[in-house]
Parts: sequence; structure tokens; C-alpha cells
Amino acid sequence: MKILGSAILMFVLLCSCADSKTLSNMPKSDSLYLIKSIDSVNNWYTIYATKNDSSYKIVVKKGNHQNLECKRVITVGQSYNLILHSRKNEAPEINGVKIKPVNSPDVQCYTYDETTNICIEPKKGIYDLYHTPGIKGLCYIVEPQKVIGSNTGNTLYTKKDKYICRERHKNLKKLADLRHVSKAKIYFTN
Amino acid sequence: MSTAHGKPGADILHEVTEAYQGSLISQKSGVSSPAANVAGSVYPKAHAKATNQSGTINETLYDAAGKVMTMTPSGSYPVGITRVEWSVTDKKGARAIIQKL
Repeated sequence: MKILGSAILMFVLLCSCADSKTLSNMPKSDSLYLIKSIDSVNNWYTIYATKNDSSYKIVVKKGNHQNLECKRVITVGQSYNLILHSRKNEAPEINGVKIKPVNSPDVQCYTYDETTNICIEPKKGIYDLYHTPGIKGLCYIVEPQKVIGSNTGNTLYTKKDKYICRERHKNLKKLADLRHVSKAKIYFTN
Repeated sequence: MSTAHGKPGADILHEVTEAYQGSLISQKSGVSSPAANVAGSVYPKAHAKATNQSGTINETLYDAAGKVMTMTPSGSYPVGITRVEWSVTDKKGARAIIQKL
């Protein structure tokens, strides 16, 4: 009976932890980019993507994605959840001062290394270059998974989630010891 | 820049026609446009409709030793920039600096 009680308590604890942090694993459509083509210039990949009829040119340094233990290689025709940073919205910094001349929108090409200049392509509707933390080499870096769905076999927990649950469990035990009652008899109200 | 590309006057013509095209777009929509580098600006459309620039402008970054800097692997600006140059390449392949900071 005690074992059954403990099992029920653990289940309730897990559910409560999961419920409080449940997030959908559905990709957000507003950050979903369809990869149209992948090109390369010297040591850099230029990845062409589209979203909502707009075109994006993403520049990433080549790297051996096998070294990254890559689980998902970027593939043409597939869509990925990405956060893109615009080159035109950023500016180089000298001693903490952003250098952005008034004519900076007219800059078309950027030096990526000593031998590589990469340009925007207005004729293709590409007026900016982008970079993203979501791609290394051609490897798609999946963001750390939060608790997904309910307490099923598909549920994933991050280290932080597990830590929160463990701490909650410890606190519950402390409280039960303090009140000299069983943990199962402690109820929380919102 | 125009001279380096062998097209004197081409870039001032570009700027004038770009401004004109931008004003037409805003006049039609009835909404003023923010600056060119601000989201929602009519700049990309106006730029595309204007006459062509004489050629391309390139941005290059240098470190304290005067060496060309490499962008970070993710493609963002590196740290430690001490000089930025904007340049064009003329017909003979020579680099002409049009602005330096």
C-alpha cells in the first residue's frame, strides 16, 4: 500500500512538474524557413531560404559537421526553425562604438575573410545577408528541448526541469518530516 | 565611386531617382517611411526601382595589426575591429577606398 502510495505521489509530482512547464514542440511558423539551395564560396556556405515569399541569404562558415556530432544536416527542401540576424541591422564596433555611416544601406558586399567577399543579390530580391546561431557548418543546432507534451513516453525533460522536480520532491519530504505526516497527505492549493 | 567605376554621375543619379521612387511609394500608400535601415522602410523597393549604382561597395574590417579580419564562424561581426573601410574595385581591378573609419 505504501509502495502504491509512493508511486501515485511520484506520478502526481511528475505531472505537476510537466504541467507547469509544458510547451508545444510544434515549430513556430513565424521562424520557419524553407531551404531553397545551398552554395559555397571558399570557406563559407551561402544558404538560400524563403519565408512568407521573402528570400534570405544566410552565411555560415564551413565546418566539419561530423565533428559536431550532427544530428540534423541542413537539407534543401526542408524547413527549419531559425533565428536570423540581419547584417544591415548590425554594425561593426570599434572600442565599443558602433560604426554605421548614413550610407551603410548602400553597402552590397562584405569581406568574410581575406579571400572572400559575399554580396547581397537585389536581382533575386535579396537585400541583406543573414547569420544564425542555429546552423554550424551545415549542421542544424536544435535548441535544448523543454518538457514536451504530457507525461508520456515522448516526454523529454531538460536538466533544469529535472532539477526543479528533484528540489520540489526534497522540499515536500522536508515539509512532511517537519509536520510528522506522510508526503501523500500534503496538498498544495494555488 | 562613380569615377572609379568609369561612370561619372551614375551614383548621384541613383540617389536622386531612389529618393523620387521612395516618395512615389509613400505618396501612394499615404504612409511616411522610416529611415532606410529601419524595419518597414520603403528603401528596398525604392532602391530596386532607381537607376543602377555605378558598381558595388565592399565593407572590410581590420584588426590592430592592420590585417583583414574574418567574420565569426556563425557569420557575425568579430570582436577587436580597429578600422573599417568601404571600397570599390575599378575596371582595372584596383581597389579605391571611398570611406574609412
